Amino acid sequence: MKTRLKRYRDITGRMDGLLSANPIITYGLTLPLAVMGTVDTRAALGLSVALFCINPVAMLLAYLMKKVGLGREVYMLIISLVSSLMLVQISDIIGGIHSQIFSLMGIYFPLLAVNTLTFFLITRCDPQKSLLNNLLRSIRSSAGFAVVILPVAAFRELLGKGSVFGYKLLDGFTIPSVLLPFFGFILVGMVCALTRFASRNIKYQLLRRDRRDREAAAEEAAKVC
Amino acid sequence: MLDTMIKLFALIFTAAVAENTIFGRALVTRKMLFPTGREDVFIFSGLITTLVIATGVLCYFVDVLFLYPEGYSVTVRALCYIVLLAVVHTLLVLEVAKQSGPEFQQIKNVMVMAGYNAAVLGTILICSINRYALAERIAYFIGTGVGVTMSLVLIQVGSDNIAMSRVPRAFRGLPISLIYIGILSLAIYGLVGHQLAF
Amino acid sequence: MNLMNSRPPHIRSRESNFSIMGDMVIALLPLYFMAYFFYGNHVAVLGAVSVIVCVLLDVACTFLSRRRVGILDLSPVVTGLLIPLMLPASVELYVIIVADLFAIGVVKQPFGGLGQNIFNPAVAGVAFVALTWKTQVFSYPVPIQSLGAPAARLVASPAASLKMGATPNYGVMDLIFGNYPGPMGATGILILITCLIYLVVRRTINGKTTLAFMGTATVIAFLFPRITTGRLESVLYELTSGVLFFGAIFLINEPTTAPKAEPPRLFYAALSGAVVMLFRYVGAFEEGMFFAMILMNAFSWLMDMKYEERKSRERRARYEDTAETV
Repeated sequence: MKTRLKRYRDITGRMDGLLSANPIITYGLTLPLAVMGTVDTRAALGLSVALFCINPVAMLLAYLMKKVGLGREVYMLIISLVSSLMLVQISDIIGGIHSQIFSLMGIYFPLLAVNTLTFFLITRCDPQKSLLNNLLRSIRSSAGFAVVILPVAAFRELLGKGSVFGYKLLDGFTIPSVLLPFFGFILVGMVCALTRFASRNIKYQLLRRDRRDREAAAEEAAKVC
Repeated sequence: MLDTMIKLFALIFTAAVAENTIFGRALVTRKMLFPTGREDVFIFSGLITTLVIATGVLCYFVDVLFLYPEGYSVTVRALCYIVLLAVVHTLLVLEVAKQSGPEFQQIKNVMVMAGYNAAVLGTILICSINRYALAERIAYFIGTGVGVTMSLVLIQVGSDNIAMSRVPRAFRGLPISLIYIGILSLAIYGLVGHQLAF
Repeated sequence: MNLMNSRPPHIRSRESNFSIMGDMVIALLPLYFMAYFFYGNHVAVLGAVSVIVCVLLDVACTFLSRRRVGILDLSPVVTGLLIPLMLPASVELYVIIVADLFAIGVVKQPFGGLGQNIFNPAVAGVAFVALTWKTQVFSYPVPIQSLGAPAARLVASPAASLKMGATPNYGVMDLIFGNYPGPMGATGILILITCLIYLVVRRTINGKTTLAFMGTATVIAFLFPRITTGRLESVLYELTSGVLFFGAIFLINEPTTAPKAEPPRLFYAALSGAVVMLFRYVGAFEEGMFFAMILMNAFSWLMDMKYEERKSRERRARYEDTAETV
């Protein structure tokens, strides 16, 4: 029978890129987007949608290029160009989320063409595994990105402007400096630390329970003998 | 003439301090957070400065001759800039490979990360959006290079200092580096005092 | 042999954390009495709340990181006392609480707690609230006239006048006795001098560090006056406005963030004086002390390291000379 810790590790392992090995929290990727793209929830949503579009395509191309045997410099160049082209194509979809979304995202939308998450995924793309496996990994990582930046953006927008997605929720008490870059760095750092703390504590509690179960089982066995 | 010189120096100061690429605009990568030594810092920031200036000058001419008159959006302009960046980067890689010989393998990785970097593309985009003239752009690029170098040195000094502290396990590595940069960014904001335009 | 990496100092004196922090607490209390005389009960409430929040948060964070909670650790008390003294007496309670949360929760505990912080927690906490609530932090009640109702009438401080190039309208006696609008604990120059003497006599702080800091600030204020009524007046107002003198006593001499050896500490103090004046002159805020100190704290360890490297190079050269002679 599987221990609690092993079951927990299986679940988080299947969610690789989402719960464990999260691109922002674990690897510190896409920091410009995590720090500056979380000033508004609409901007965070736009960036997440754009990454969801770019990453699977980039992974597919990287898979094919690695199968052919192209070097790192070549596929990074091609992926940057293709990502930039895709951003031009999906601008209309992103623009449909909100009329002001491009002014909210600023230069960080075109910077998605050289984002470190895409480069990380294509570098780690394994041509030995199936294409589906690699594509699912890219989708999970994009989801992992969205799972972190959307709540962070909602928190910052709520405290900084009193609204979420542009809808006013708080009147009066706001802390405008949470919209500045320094708070973004500190908040992302704190989120990383708190997630690690929580994860470590969960594993510790599961380990303790497993140990207690083993000791109880050993006592039962001794009594029977 | 004097007015122009003052304006250009002010732009260098703005790019280096007030609109610092790392502390003011968060155009930072994981490699920049964990520098391995002072030499690495100077090589990396030197590469970024070279790429920004070389690519930025070409982008100016493309802007003026083609992109501005046609009224293309920032996203389309970014596509053109990436093409130019790729050309300049490839030429630089070939030139360095010729000069360095066996040491080239060590700096190859650094060159790839320095090239396809948000700091390089971001700086060029900022100058394009603000429609700076050529001299202004060069001043801004020099300021960016100086700013990136100063920031990376500060980060490297900080990471050595943090390595000697008894940082709690949950904060070790990435979280404490981000908090450190955040606090430094807070200090630099005391000079600027206003939110930078996106 | 187990080797352990740690920051200096490695050889310690007989002083303890309790004695140093205890002296700081004793030195800060007269400033509270002075502020209470000028502004009334609200001062006591601000100080008490600040200390309670800092202590509780420090204990909670220490407990969460599975470290032993030191009963004799007065460092959160000192932080709690310092923060309100750098702010106006009219400031709201939530501003103090946010400053405390930032100071302990972001600047002190994540770096390892007592003795491990790179930045001065009180300074960073005040810098954060100064950015967030600029109007509240830089508007001051008039002393004595605002007794009981500190927020009733708020005015700008002499630092704001200097920022605009105007000469403040306060006499020398007002400046000495603190009878002018300013941060709660930073206006009474006479009491601050008394605190300085006490701390120097108790050897809690080094008087030379304060002198180096004030010396640089004096030279800059003399050479580059912001007012047109004379260089001496410029020096007088620059040194007595804002938290400059307060910072020269309590912030520059903070044992964790300042360099440990004397030569780098004097260099650090002198350079800090220059940077503080630079932030005051060209920065966005009338008081640049908080931001300048954060920046200087980042470099203090480097100064110690470079000094130790130089000393060890000199020692090695002397040893090699002696060996050659033998």
